[in-house]
Amino acid sequence: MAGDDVLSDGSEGGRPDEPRERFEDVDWDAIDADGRRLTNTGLAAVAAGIGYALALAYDLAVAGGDPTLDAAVDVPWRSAPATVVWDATAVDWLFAATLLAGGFALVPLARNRRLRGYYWRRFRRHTPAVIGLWYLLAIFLLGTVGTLFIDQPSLNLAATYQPPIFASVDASIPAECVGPVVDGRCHGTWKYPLGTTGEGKGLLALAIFGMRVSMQVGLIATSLSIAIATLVGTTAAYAGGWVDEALMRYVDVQQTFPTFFLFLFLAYLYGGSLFVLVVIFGVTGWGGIARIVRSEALQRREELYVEAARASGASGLSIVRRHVVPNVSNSIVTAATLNIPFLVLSEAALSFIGLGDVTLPSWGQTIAAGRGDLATAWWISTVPGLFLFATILAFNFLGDALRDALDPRQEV
Amino acid sequence: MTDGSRPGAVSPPNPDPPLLDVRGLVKHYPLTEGLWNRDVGRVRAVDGIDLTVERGEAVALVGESGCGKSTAARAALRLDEPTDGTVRFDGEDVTAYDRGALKRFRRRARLIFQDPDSSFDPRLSIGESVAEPLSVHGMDDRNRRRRLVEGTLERVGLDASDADRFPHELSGGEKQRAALARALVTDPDLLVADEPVSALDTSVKADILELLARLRDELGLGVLLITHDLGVVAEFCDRVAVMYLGEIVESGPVEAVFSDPGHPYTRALLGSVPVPDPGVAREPTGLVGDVPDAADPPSGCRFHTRCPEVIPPDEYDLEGDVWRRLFRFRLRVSGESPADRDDIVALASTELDPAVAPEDVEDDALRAAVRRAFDLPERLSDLAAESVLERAVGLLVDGEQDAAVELLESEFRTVCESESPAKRRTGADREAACHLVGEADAGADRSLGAEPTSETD
Repeated sequence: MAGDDVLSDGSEGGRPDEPRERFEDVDWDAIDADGRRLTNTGLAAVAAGIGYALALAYDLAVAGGDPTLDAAVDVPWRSAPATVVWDATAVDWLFAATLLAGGFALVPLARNRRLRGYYWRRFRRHTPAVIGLWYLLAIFLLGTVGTLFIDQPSLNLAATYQPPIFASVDASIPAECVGPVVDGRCHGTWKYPLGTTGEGKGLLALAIFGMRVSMQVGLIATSLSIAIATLVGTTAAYAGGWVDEALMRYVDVQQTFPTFFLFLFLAYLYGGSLFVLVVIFGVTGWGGIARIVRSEALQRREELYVEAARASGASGLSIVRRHVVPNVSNSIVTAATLNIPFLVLSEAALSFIGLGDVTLPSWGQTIAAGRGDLATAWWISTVPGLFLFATILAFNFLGDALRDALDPRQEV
Repeated sequence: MTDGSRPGAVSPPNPDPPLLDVRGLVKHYPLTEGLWNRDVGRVRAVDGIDLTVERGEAVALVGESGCGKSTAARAALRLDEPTDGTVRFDGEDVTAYDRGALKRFRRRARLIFQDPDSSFDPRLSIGESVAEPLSVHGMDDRNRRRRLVEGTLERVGLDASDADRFPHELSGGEKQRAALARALVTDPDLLVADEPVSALDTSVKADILELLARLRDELGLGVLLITHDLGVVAEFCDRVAVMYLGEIVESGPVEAVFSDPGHPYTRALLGSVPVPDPGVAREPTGLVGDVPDAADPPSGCRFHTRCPEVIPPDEYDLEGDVWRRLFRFRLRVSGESPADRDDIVALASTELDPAVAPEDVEDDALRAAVRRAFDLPERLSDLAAESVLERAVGLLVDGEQDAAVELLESEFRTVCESESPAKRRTGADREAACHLVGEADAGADRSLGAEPTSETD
């Protein structure tokens, strides 16, 4: 290190035309007079916010009941241009907001190459979690981008009960066999790689649309919960006193509240919609996370680096934003990754018992649809069931690995 | 009150106000109890201290743990709102600052901490942590911050590339250098260093102190050094203020105070500095026990419960050493939880004949044992004092502790517990608050008869 020092000194001294600014030379009065400016990230966030608001306004005011997006896109592997028709729903808008917010939350990490590398090296040691991460990324991209390019499966009586590819079923079970019939058995085709339901809907397409539903439920409701929990938890810890008391007693009350029955009630009144489900779970499911955040933030508040920031003149809000929240983020991220599978499973369960949005091809719905045919067409329930199982498992692996990776106090 | 106009008329000899001028600083923490936060008293952590730091001067605030040094510094910087008193910084009243002015003050008066390990956010690189004060104070240019941080890191003896390292990758000494860089980066006038080297190895400690001394010369930095390490004070500081239980008992130039301490507490502290030569003959310091509870400080001179030089009452003719033992006996008896005869027997058991069963101990033998247990002589030379002591020991042996305490407290009194010593000048730029100290004549007159019946003012 001493050698480096000499070297850098030499190179600095070699440029007498541009002496480095020293801290004594800073004209603080000029900086005080200059006022504050938004950082680039801040500007980008403001721009994104405005863009989002404009698009939302367009959807509400101009597009109205028509599809929000109706465009032809040239796809190289198809002769005719694919039409992208997308009528953004309320859930889609929430989802977009979630992704935007998530993106900006990751900016500090993305910018800090060394920290990113450090976390990644620690994360990589958990092989199941790495596999889970790729699986979830695939699910996420298929569910968000992929669904734009495929049509929602519809009733097709000519293609009911088709078996998956490489599987076969007695030819009497499908009304008509799309694939080849060999020795009285109907074989699957590439047209329906995962088979079809009793209504002739392709299970692959259903599964992909199910990914969208699951990701939307898991991500939106969890981000809502995290946002509220972080706000409440850090406020309680940082303000202390009666604010802390009031907020935490409210959490106690909310924790006793039966979310499930509230949803039943609303589903009965207004019909089960995904929007209601997401909002209900998001707005009532943050109590536990808020408690974790609060207890962690209470410890962080006493740390000397918080004291140092205070002695530097940083405001309470900026200390919470810059020091407290990042340092409780490992708890938040872990709680979040374990909250998502719970929500995905809850949505599947509600759909299974018929309380979900009947128009949406969620996994739970497909599993329910196939349960009467298990003896003859095992794949209808099994395929979405496997996706559900793998997704839950992946999130759990991810949560465990993140908890280990994000804790900087455990030195390697 | 109004603003920082120069009090030129008030202090003509020194037209330039001191960098930091603390007057009568008080910080009390209320003690509350129960559901309605009933006020049940207050912890007098800092109880009216005066302190000045001139430009470029290093002032030490010393004392044992728990005597309120750190609290005093935090209150002076308004990190904790002071309960009372004024703090002037560069002639301006810090206690009257609004938000904006306080924030600008934070730039000019910086703080470093004892523990370098927890004073850096583990999720920020050293560079980001050092740059934080810059961005807090509105320097939005990322590259400029980076340049300043690199330059500052090099000036505290680190490498510019250390800006990209994380706190856990640095040693304690390197972290303390980085902490110094974080404090200096806003070009402060005052640096408050709270035990900056106590957590470091001896060799690293010397390096950091040397660096601190160099930067102080270079930048004309006023330093308020809070420490319990008198060696550091002797090495680094110009002036020293000795603090005991929320009050400053003695202050003055380091050399003068250390060579001829005016206050018994200073003497005791100096006596407890380890000397690396086992052959050096040293008198016992007599500093026993812990600092008393600041929620219930002793009356009069707060040091009287532990003072090795506590003043004997006029009416008895006792040697200093005997009186001290007598006084300690009194304090211990009144401090003891209610005790019956069995407790007294247990207390004196080491001095009793082990062959005699506890219930068979004769009163005479027990009385003698109690005296031995409390390190009291068999007979006092002063007859009046002896008769009081004899009655008190007798009461104690009879299990009448309350009566014994009452008797001892009414007979063996000292001016130290009844009156707070006023602060007196003991030499050029020196002050001490002790009944033993005469005006402007330090230590010349420690005899007792000369003790004036000083009023509290």
